[in-house]
Amino acid sequence: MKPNGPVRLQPLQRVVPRCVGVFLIVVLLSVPTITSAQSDLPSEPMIEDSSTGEEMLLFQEIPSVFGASKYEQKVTEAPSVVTIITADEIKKYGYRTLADILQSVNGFYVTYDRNYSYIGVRGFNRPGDYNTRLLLLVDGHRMNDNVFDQAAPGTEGRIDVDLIDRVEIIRGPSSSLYGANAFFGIINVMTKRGRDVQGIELSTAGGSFESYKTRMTYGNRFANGLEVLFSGSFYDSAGQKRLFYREFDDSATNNGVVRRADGDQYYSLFTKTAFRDFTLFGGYLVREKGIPTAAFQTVFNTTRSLSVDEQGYVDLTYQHEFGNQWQLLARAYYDRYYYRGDYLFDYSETDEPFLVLNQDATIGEWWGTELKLTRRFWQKHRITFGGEYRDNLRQDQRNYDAVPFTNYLNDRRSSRLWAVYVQDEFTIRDNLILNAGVRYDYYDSFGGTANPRLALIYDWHQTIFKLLYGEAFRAPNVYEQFYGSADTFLANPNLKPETITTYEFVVEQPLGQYLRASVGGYYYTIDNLISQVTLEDERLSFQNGETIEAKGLEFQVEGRLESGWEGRLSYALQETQNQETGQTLTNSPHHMAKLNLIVPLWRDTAFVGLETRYVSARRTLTRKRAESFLVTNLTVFAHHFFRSLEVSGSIYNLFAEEYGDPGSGDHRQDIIPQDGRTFLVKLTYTF
Amino acid sequence: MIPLSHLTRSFILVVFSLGGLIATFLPGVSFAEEGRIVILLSQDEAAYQDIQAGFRAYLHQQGVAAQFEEYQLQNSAIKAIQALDDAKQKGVHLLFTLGTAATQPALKEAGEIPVVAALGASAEELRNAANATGVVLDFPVQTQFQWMQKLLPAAKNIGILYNAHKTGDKVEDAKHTARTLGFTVTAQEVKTTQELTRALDKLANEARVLWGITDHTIYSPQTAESILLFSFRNRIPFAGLSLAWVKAGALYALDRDYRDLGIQCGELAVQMLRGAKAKTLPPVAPRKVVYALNLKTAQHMKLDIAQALIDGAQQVIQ
Repeated sequence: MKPNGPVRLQPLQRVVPRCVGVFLIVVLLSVPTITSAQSDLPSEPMIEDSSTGEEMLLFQEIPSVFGASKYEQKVTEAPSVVTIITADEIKKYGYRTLADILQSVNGFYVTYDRNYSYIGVRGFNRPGDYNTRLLLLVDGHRMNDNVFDQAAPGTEGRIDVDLIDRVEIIRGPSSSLYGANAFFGIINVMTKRGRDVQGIELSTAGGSFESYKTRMTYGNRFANGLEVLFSGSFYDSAGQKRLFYREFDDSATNNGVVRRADGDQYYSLFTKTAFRDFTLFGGYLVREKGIPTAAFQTVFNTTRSLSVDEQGYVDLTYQHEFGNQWQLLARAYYDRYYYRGDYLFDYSETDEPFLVLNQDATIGEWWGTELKLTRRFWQKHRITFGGEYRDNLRQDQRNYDAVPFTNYLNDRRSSRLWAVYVQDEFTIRDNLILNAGVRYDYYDSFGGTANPRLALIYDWHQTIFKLLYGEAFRAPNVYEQFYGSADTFLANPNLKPETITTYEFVVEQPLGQYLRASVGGYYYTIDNLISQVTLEDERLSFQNGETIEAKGLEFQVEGRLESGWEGRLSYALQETQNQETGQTLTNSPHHMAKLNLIVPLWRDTAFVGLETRYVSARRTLTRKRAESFLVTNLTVFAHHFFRSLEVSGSIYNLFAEEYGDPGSGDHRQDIIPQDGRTFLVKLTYTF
Repeated sequence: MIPLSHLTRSFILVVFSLGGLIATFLPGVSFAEEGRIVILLSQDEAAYQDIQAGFRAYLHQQGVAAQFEEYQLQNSAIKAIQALDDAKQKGVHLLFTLGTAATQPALKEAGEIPVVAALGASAEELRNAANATGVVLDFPVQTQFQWMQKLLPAAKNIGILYNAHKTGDKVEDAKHTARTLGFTVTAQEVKTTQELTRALDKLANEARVLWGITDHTIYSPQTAESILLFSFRNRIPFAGLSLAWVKAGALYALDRDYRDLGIQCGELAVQMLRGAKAKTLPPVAPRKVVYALNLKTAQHMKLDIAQALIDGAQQVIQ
């Protein structure tokens, strides 16, 4: 179905002239180099020097991998700003969830409404947005579901952080390769493999709020090359026993006090099997979380309001190289997502309560396939062609009162999309790379959109300059379009995709052998922003409309010494405004500063991980201020002292800073207070 | 002058001849050979000094009262030619060359002057030269794989990066040797630096150990990071090339005892000074194996290294 309205997409007729322009530039730049390319000589031949021989290999100093493990070549050559967090850092900083990881990263911040975690990036974190503007990949598998488009980073996240080998945080629009949701960036989670475990790993943790977590993982790599990993995790937390919300400080609502309604529980399974060119992996998670905030005008101080998220997926990937020429990646997958929200309402119009359990139920089911081919042409061009097809078998939403049964919403639908893309990594000179790509997505719901990206990467004596331009889109999701429920929500099937255009300039500079600094500036505009608004009749609805303009500076120094010291210091200055009103966006801090430091206490055995982050004040929905805060977390981690035992103890919010995150339109609370000082102790042992 | 009888002259001749023979074949007994030995050093490396020290000590022990003249070439081919011309003019009984920059010009320009080379030429190059022998750089593949078996008994598939032009023969030799020892080899050719990452990725699923071969077109400080990060990330131990590689993150490396290597060269030199032709003295590999281990890497890769092997290492990084 084609869109009816004046959709501000990037249709082919707008993009083609740009692409032609880009390729003209490419051709002009390549004129001096085409001659050499045609001679079929390697652009970077192996060094042949007759005056020095192989014996020099024995005497040369070799840069240590222990100091360099974070600075892969691809980070500097990537057409984006990339941050990598490793499994080692996850242990030493005591990260519990992907949300913990992300809020330690420059330019990112996380808002928690005591149900879900919401990732903010570059000054943008809209209330009620389920992380739809970030694409979350696990081993290349898209994790955003097909109803809410949700990337889940908290305990609702689909992957146990203990199974993460590394996280690559790639900033900037990447729809030219990944399509929808790659709006502000991509979070690419690489999980561990059997070889990373080599045995049975048992882990148990306990901490504040009667929180416990256990995990058992088996992994191995056999002599025939078969590699397997199985893992199961269980987490249970009673949550805060007592929470106080001043907005409910009334005798009718227990004087604002909620008791034992903050429970959080999940279990998850993950498996990965690899043999030769095939990798089969999948996961399953069920999470149940109490909602203590009385969101959506539900009854205050009840344990009956809760949300249940369940997601399972299986992915088969085949990677092969044909004749040292074509590299093929083929993927087929199936996903299922189920959500149920139990919301206890009091429908009584008198003092006598009339409690009814209203339930939201969502079932998403989809399968898809992806094919990617990469080949180097004329030594200078590394070209990637690809295509993707996704069939959303089910995108069903229901809303009803359980007893007495009243149906409010029973929306059943399916949809399909396909996409094709091409990208050229053109090595113009040994120190100059042009990365140009475009992707065309076609949705049977609203039509097509094409999104280009250009990056010019110049290496001047190890100082890397990146000039980046990108466009991306986010399709309205089924929840935003078709959710309507009684007196609380109004559906809006006419929503159009929102688009972003980003300009970015980055300089990355090594400082000696072990440090690296980067400084960058960006400017982006978002058109047709989809955001949740409160209508005159007090119902919530998603509407297009706002145009957002943002600019910012990001600075970071990071480093790692062979002695074990490592860390990063970052600062982000950001200004995000609604172009029409000139107002700063809600939940958008101007300043963020972060310090992460790992200090070895004793040889390679004991470490302290210190993390401090400062977030400046943010506007709330009522234009009040959620005050700035400075939170410090401290973790002591020890390993290699008794067989394979690993022990860590963490204190989060060490100085018990009192702070809160802005609430969304779902909440009566303008600001939702966050946890004070908490602790966690964790033991892990491998047999 | 006292006239000697024919018998007496015969007796004296026999005694001196026997004495000469004994002096020749008994170690430590001088045979009063004197000569001029020119030593060409490619550059000023500690390892070359150790080799030279071993060489000189052995010759001294053998009673070779040679006159040594040393040239530092600083890896310059021009300096090598000048040194050879100079040596020829002054007269030289033996050339002792250390490293490629010294050995390669010597093999071409020395003519019939005996050459003993350390580390600067392959066995084939030495055999093809007019009058040269020496100690080559590499340990025999069999020796290297046997050490691999000791240190990594579970690693049955050996990954190799190679440049067909330079080390294709070595890889074929490795494949053959691997078969006899129960290994399999997965070899990936690398033609350009751009292909390195791709070649490593292709090894990730098959190889259980990455075997470094002495080929500076593939292994260099510039490529070390990619190779060692691949090893780390994929938990595929890298059998490195030297102590420096082990310090940087390789699991282990076999190394040479450079003083002993100098003694080996000395043994060849003594025989050549005594008139043996190079054709009768085939090039040899270093005979003494020492090794360095990185236990930090072993720990990361969850590898158990036997205590005896740790104790036997020349250097242990931890």
